[in-house]
Amino acid sequence: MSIIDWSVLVVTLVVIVVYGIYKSRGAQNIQGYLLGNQSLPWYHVCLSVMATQASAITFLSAPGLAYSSGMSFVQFYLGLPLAMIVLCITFVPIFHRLKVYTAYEYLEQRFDLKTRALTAFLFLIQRGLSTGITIYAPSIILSTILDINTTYTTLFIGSLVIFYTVYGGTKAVSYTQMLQMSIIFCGLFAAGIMVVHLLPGDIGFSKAISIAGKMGRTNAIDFKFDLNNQYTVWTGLIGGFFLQLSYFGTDQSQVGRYLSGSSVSQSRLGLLMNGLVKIPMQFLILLIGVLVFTFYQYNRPPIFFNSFELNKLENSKYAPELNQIKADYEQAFELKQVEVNKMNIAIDQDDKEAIDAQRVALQAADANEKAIRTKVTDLMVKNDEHANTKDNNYIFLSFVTQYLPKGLIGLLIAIIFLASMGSTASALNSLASTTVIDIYKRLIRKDGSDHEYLQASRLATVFWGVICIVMALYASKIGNLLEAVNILGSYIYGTILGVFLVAFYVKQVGGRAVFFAALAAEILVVVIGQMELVAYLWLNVIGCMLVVLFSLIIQKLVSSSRSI
Amino acid sequence: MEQGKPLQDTEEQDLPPFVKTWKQFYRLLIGWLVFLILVFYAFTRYFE
Repeated sequence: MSIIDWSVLVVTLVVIVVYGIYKSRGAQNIQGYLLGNQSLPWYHVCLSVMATQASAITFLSAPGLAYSSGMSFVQFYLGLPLAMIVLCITFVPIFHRLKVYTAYEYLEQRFDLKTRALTAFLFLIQRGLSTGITIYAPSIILSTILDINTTYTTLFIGSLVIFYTVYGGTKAVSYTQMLQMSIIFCGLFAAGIMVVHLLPGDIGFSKAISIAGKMGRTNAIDFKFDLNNQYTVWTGLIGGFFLQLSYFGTDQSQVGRYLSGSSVSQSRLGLLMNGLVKIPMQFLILLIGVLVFTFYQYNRPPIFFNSFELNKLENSKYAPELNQIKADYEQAFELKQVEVNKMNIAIDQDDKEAIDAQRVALQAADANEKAIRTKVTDLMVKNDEHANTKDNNYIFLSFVTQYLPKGLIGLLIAIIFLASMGSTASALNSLASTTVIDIYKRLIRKDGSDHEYLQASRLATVFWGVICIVMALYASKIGNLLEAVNILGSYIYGTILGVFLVAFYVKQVGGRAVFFAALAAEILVVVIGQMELVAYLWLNVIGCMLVVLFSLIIQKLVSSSRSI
Repeated sequence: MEQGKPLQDTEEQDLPPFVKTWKQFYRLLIGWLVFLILVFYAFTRYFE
């Protein structure tokens, strides 16, 4: 990176962190630290929930996904607006009215302590693990730039986030997130313009998408019903609805965001605006990935996007073999470019037969290129069995650092830092809230002072920060980070949502029934997930339905045995 | 049970901006979702 980029990066980070610290200055109490004194307007709530969900992973993985498999991932978010509506009708007014700190507090009032403890425990596991991945994602940026192992960069970023979160509290998190999202929108817009600008002169925006479309990258909507297809309209609307409902309704990292709204109305409005904006935003991020794909049809992409792993191989005894593969790769790219140019002409002439013929030719060229890349990853594993052979998360990053102008590189890297800091801060804050409010205050020390709970919250934040860093160190072995987080969530969210739905809508079910139903459902979901019987989004539906069904059955059995 | 019942009273007190009731806002959001699906479908078909 140039001095200009480093300057932009450092200035942006410093300004945001200082702004957050400035906004959270002054004496804090536990209510202010965990809920920001419930004083924030709707636009703060909206940007805060968006920033919490849109982590650095969103900006690294999503364009990479679009590059390698197209835009079908946008369907994952189709259930989100529907989930926002259910939240606004049920969850938000109830949580506000009861003045709870965490979502799980409500479950003790409705059921009993063990149900509250179980859901809080499931949340802590899920969020603790996924936040590790959230910290790991931006650490790969520094790894690529500085050409050092991700272990060191993970430790550096994790420490930075812990410091910021412990100091800031919820209010600082929300204020910085607002600024972060504004910068993120501007940066992404600039990146999109630059990709189009970098395309050959005769390839405009529409033509670029058209070329990518002929190679299967504009598959935004798929109406086919297939239980094993990860992304269709139906998995998005049904599975996605359950996932988003449980994420926003029962995950404290989101509940804490909208509970900081100054009223029911402000919280609702923030969530509904999120429902309006989220899908188009995700579509545009994926579209950038598609444009990058077209760009690389005219500019030879690296044989492997993770330069750290590639350098390792180049400096190994397998270098001669790698050089031979590189030569094959260059030749394959030249042949592919010929086909791309023919496709370009066919599109210009609107010759459907030629387009179809070129589509087949390009698919073959694509497959050939993939086969050559597989030879490289095989060689990497031969050289080092622990080598990271997935490079999806490096695609956009590699493009940014190699082709974007000075200044913009620094800004985009700052964006990825900021996004990670925002979502990680929310997660650590929510992990601390749940640990202190649902476990420490409820089970260990019931009569502590406000100051004591505040200190406990800060300590809990540090504790979870360290756990997350440890998890992040293992994240490098996982393929696509964005999918990994969602798969992990799908294992647990359905069960927690089921408990909340029973709490809200099935009044005859008591604490014991729902507790054992949740345990049984969770075990079944893990078994189904491990056997890969259905696409992971369906696990949310299955987990939720099983809890409701088992609760009703167990309650019926309990009632029958009592009456006998 | 108090916490289990929907809050119609709150809905009436806290009105949303731009529209008259929250229900209208919810319908607007559903309409927006349908519109997006149709636009994305057209996008898929046009460029494939």
